[in-house]
This record gives sequence, C-alpha cells and structure tokens, in this order.
Amino acid sequence: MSIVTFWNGTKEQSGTTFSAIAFAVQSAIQHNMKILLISTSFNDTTTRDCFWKSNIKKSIFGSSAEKISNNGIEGLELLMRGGKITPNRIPEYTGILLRDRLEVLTGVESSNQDLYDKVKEKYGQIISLAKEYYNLVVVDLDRRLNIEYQRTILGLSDIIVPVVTQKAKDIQMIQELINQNDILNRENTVITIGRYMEDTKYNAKNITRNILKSKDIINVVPYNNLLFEAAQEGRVIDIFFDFMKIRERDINYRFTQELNRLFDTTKGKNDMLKMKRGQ
Amino acid sequence: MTISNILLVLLVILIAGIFIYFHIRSKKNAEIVTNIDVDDQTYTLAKMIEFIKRRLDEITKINLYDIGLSEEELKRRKTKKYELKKALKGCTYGDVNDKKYVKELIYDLLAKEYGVTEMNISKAIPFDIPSVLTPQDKFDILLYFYKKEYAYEALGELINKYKLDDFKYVQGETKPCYVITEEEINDIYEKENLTLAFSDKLNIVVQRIYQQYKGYSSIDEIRDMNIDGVSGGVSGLPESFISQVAQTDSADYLTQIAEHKVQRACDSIWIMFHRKINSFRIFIFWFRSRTKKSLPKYI
Repeated sequence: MSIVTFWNGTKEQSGTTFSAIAFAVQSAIQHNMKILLISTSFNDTTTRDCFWKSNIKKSIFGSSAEKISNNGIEGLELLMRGGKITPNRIPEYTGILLRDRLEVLTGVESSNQDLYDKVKEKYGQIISLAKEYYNLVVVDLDRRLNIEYQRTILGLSDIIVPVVTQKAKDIQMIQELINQNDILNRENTVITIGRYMEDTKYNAKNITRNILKSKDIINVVPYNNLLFEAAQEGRVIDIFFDFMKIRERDINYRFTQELNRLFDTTKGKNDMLKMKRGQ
Repeated sequence: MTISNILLVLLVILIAGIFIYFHIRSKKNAEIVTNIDVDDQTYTLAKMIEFIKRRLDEITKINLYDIGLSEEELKRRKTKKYELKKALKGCTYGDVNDKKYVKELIYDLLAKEYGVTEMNISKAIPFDIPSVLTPQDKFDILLYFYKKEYAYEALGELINKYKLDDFKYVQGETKPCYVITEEEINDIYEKENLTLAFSDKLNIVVQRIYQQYKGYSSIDEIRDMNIDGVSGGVSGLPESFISQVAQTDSADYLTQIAEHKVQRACDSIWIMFHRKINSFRIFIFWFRSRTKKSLPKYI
C-alpha cells in the first residue's frame, strides 16, 4: 500500500542497495506484510547475488526451453508492451524469497542497453501497479538512472529514504534539498546514514545535534560484516534468520535494532501522511 | 527361484537401467533450439515464420516439472504458460490485446534470439530499395506509420488524405468504380517519403509474420481499423471451381487463369468505408492473397 524508495542523492557510495535489501528482509521477517523489493539497476547482479547462488538450475532432464526472457523485469516489460499487465500479474514475474512475505524484482542484469532503455521508461508504471498488490514496495533507486526517471519514481514514493555517507557535507546537501521542498520534504523524507560506524566523532547523536539540529536521532544502517559476507554467498535470508536468535550483547544486535527503528520511522511518517491526506 | 531366474531378473534390471541412463543423457544434451545456421535464406520471411512457429511451440509445450521448480514457482510459471497459450488462441479470434502481446513476443524472439539486425532485415522485406517493394509492402509501411499517429483511424485518414474513395475509371473497365490501385499506393509511398528506423522495419516484418502465422493474412491490419467492414474471397472464381475446371479439358480457360486474366476469389478484398454514403466498396486488387483461414464473408 506504500512505496518506500531508497535513494542515493550524493556522489559517494553509501550502501543504498544493501540498506534497501536489509530493510526489506528485516521488515518481511518482523512484520506480516507482503513486501516487494524492486531494483532499478543496470548490468549489475548485486541483488540477485544476495539471495541466489546461481539462477541456472539445470535439471537431470536438460535445460529449459525458456531461452528468451519471460521472467523478471524483462517479462514484465513484454507484458506491458502487450497491454496485458494488471497488479495481480506482477507476482508471476518476481522471485520469491519468503512465501507471502517477500518477493524481489531484480533490475536489468545484462548489458543490453536497448532493453534497459525500454524498461526504465516503465519503472514508474510497474511501481504504481505493484503498490496496489503489495503492502510495501521497497525501491532501490539506482543513481545512474536518468534524472527524469529518478524524479518520476521519487514523485510516486510515499516515503523517500536518502541514504548518505557519514560525511557532514552530504548530510547538509540532503538537508538543503529538503529545505527546497521540491520532491523531498520534511514529511516524506527519512535521512539515513548507510554503512554507519559508531566509533567516530561524526556519530548519529553528534550529527543529529550539531548538523541536523533536531531532537529525533538520525536513522542509520550500520555496516555489518556478516551481511557483507552473506551477500556474496547468496545467504542474506539465512543471516537474517540467524539474527533473530541474537541477544543484546551480540555485536549484530544494534544492526537489527536500527533496521527496526528505520521501519518504525518510515511507518510513522507514512501514517502521518495518510492522516493528512485523509486516507 | 532358480539361479537362471535370478540372472534373468538381474539382466532385465540392467537393461532397464542402461535404457533409462541413456534416455536421460540424451535429453540432457538435447539442444532446445539449435544454433541458427546463417545462410542466404535465413532472414527470409518463410524461414522466420518457421522459426517463430517452432519457438512458440517449444515455449508452450515446455515441461515445467522437468526444470526442478519450487511449488510456488511452478504454480506461477504454469499461470504464465497458460496465459501465453490463451493469448495465442485469443489472437486467432481477432482479440486486439492478445494480438499485441503475441506480436511483441515475436518481436523479442526475432531481435534477441534470431539475430535480426539492421543489416539483415532487408532480406525479409527490401526496405532499402523502394523500387523492389511490392504494393503490399508499401501499403503495410504506410499503414504502420499512419497507425502510429492515428491508431485505428489510420486507414480512414489515409483514404481521406489522398481521396482514395473517389469514384474513378480504371483501365480495362467500362464503368467507373470505387477502387484503390497499385499506382495510387506507389504514388502515396513516394509522396510520404518515409524514413524507417530499425524498430519500424522490425515491427512491419513482425506484422507480416503474424498475419501469415496467426492473423487474417492480408486483411489482418485492415480488419482492426475503424471502418464499416471488410470482405474477402468474393471477387471472382473460387478455388473449388478452378479445381473442377482443371479436371476437364478446358486448357484455354486454365491458361487464362494462370495468366491472371480471370478474376479469382482471393484476388482482392473489399472494404466498406463509411463517409458520405452509408456503404460503399473500395476494390483493392493487388492482394494475390494467400488467405488460409475460412473467413466469414463480412467481418
């Protein structure tokens, strides 16, 4: 019912994709919601690598006849060109991670520029339709996407999560964008620090107090070694199930708690927006 | 059980095992689509149609149980396969959405699998040499461009713009009639001076393949237009009559048929285009149609 877009508005690498993935997986495990994670990347298999070791399953009876891409975003794009898309048909093209909880729609993984050009025009439509079927649509917005398409997707989003580095300059830049009140505004934006490290002068408390001059502590997605390793081995779901067993003393506890806090913040802002709109 | 019985049972089991092993191995190594051997004929319409038929057949007949999918994935793939089958069935009844979907699938198959490119597409339809284009090619190109702009009003726009619905005299006819001639189409094509991008060319080829494989042959696109009606197979002698004549000794008559001096049923199509007069007919005579489907007289 709502769209949360993770967006990197800066020039620095801030861990947007991992933050979006971690947010989607933790939310799906903790809450009984139908969540769709959409990646808008091009020529990149990061999202797929997080969940699957290899997509080729060659059975003992030989390979599949589906040589042309009838799956994923490519299949959806074909369906849209054919004018046959409805919200209920989107799940037929997604990859299932947790049944009835979490599905993923990976971006264009090949280097086929023509295909990407076709697909990027349709992201807005796909996201809008997905919103009607899923409780939560988490979009990992690729910063290499054209500005106009980025603006379209940001415009459709209920909540925008600009993922920034711990640099004061980046945070101030996003703050300025919020003050301009164009696409980002105080109501729909949740600034989040990606790849966060606590043991520095620029920690969440100091940034909140000195740069943001706010009372609500800025959201963070701490850097996590286990997630980094699991992302390369296709075990991200497993690692989050392991995190369910950890206690307060565990070094990974803060990571899950921060993801939960991020969920609560986005949900809170979204509820406020809905109330304002009278929904 | 004697020792010979045990040996026989073991032998039968061994033979069955060897048979199963080789059966699975042959299936595993079998190529679903063999690599496309490129020769002079590869990118002709006939070869492309053959490829499309084979691929769509493979996609719809794939055994999903063999791929090793999870229960949920299997359910979804089954739904998708069923949808494609439904679209392939629906488009033969003239469903516009199904037609659009099947055409897009054919487009992807040709571009991504068959390797149709800017370099070889002219082997299907000679887009680069207008003098070699048939009137039907030219009409298809014109209609495609008009359809891009006017959608289902394309034919009406074309007729109105070039006054093709005027009452006119045609060479060899004593009375004036409503007719669109080859010359008119050639003139229009020259006047329009269209520039074709690769995607346009491929879309035109896709339509040609579609209309021969699943659609209504020459009238497939005209049929979708916002006009009063289309009629085909009513212009002259039916095929059954010609086969009857062939059994007799009327060699002279058969020669005339062979030289196209006698009008045949599929030699033209008629369209009813509503404008000032409620219903009138425009005679299009270039279609030496190969309409395979039995069409109703008026669609």
